Amino acid sequence: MSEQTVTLERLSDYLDSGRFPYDPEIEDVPENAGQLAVLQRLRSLSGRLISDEAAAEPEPDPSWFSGVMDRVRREARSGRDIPLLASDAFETLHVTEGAVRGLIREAGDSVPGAVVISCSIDGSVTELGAPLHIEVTISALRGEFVPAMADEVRQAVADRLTAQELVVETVDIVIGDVHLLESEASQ
Amino acid sequence: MKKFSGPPFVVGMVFAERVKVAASPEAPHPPEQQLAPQAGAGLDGASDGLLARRAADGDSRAFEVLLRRHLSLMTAYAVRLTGSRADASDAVQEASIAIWRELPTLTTPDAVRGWMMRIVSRKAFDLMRARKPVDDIDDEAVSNRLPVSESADPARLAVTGDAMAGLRAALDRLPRLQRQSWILREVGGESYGEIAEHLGITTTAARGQLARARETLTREMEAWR
Repeated sequence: MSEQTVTLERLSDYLDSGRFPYDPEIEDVPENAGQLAVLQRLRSLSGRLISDEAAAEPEPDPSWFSGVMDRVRREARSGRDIPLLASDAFETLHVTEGAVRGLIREAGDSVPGAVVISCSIDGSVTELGAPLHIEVTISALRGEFVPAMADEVRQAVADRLTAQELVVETVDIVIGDVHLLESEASQ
Repeated sequence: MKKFSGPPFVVGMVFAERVKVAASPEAPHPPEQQLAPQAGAGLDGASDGLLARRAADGDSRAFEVLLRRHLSLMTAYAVRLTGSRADASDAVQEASIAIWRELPTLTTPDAVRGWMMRIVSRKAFDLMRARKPVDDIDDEAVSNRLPVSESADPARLAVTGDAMAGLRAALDRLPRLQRQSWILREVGGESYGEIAEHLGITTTAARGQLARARETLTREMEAWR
């Protein structure tokens, strides 16, 4: 096998597979191994080409960016309407599920070391006065005493929602992730 | 490294482990609670995966942080695919909205960046198709709209040894379909099927385009080494 016996496509697929399983027809034949190295170099250069060009990109035009964000906010996912206790026989007041999620994020983020990842709101959500079951998934700053943080988040979320005339029965906290401070992460 | 991630676990399971950490004298609680992420500020340092999950949950602020973080890469990718700054800007705008809409369907939030790039390419080709319904773009014209470097002579490049400039020039010289196939495959990591769909050709034809691009680029690369 002195001539190149393997197509570039096969070499490329082999690279895609992380050079696994080991293919002696490629690795042990100098011509093929050489071509493989060239392909690998081309691939990493191509990735760098785009990241170099990205680094040279000017800051986005502020009006372009705010235009995008305006459209995003217009498409806010508001979800179900949740009735508030302040409703009476004449008028039912609602808060959107999206707004309640916003309150939960705000409350959870206010606890040092906690960042809210996501939340779910269960129960007979659209029924007036029905108790809500909230589950909040948070990321905890590494090194924090997690159970205490979870309690604080639970309390902060319950307080915030109760203050909005919502009936909260349970708030479960799930630790979905652990993060570092930015300053630590870059070290 | 920004974070440690793993399967979600409930507080009860981590309790004992964390108690040990907190009780250990080697790991005292430093009085740096004020350094803990503030609401808002905390998101700037958050991982892509966290931002993606939070944005999927409806937080437009998390989406904004995610978008700002990857916007220049999205733009550079779109410029390479469309060959036009104006088209790239429009494609990235449409892609941004689509990303926001489709985030709740993303099953691997930690891989959000690659997923965002695939939406950019989809929108870039949607746009090019809409602008030019007939496949009548001649490669010359597209190449001319790209900022072709003046150092397109392989012999000169071999002397300067600037592999990156060499690749840039070689890409600019490739016919459009080959160039786009290469970028989609090697930068975007897209499958032959996806590439075929973007380019409006069969999978076999997409393989052919890529094969020719590979041949040309590996041959030219010899000159830059």
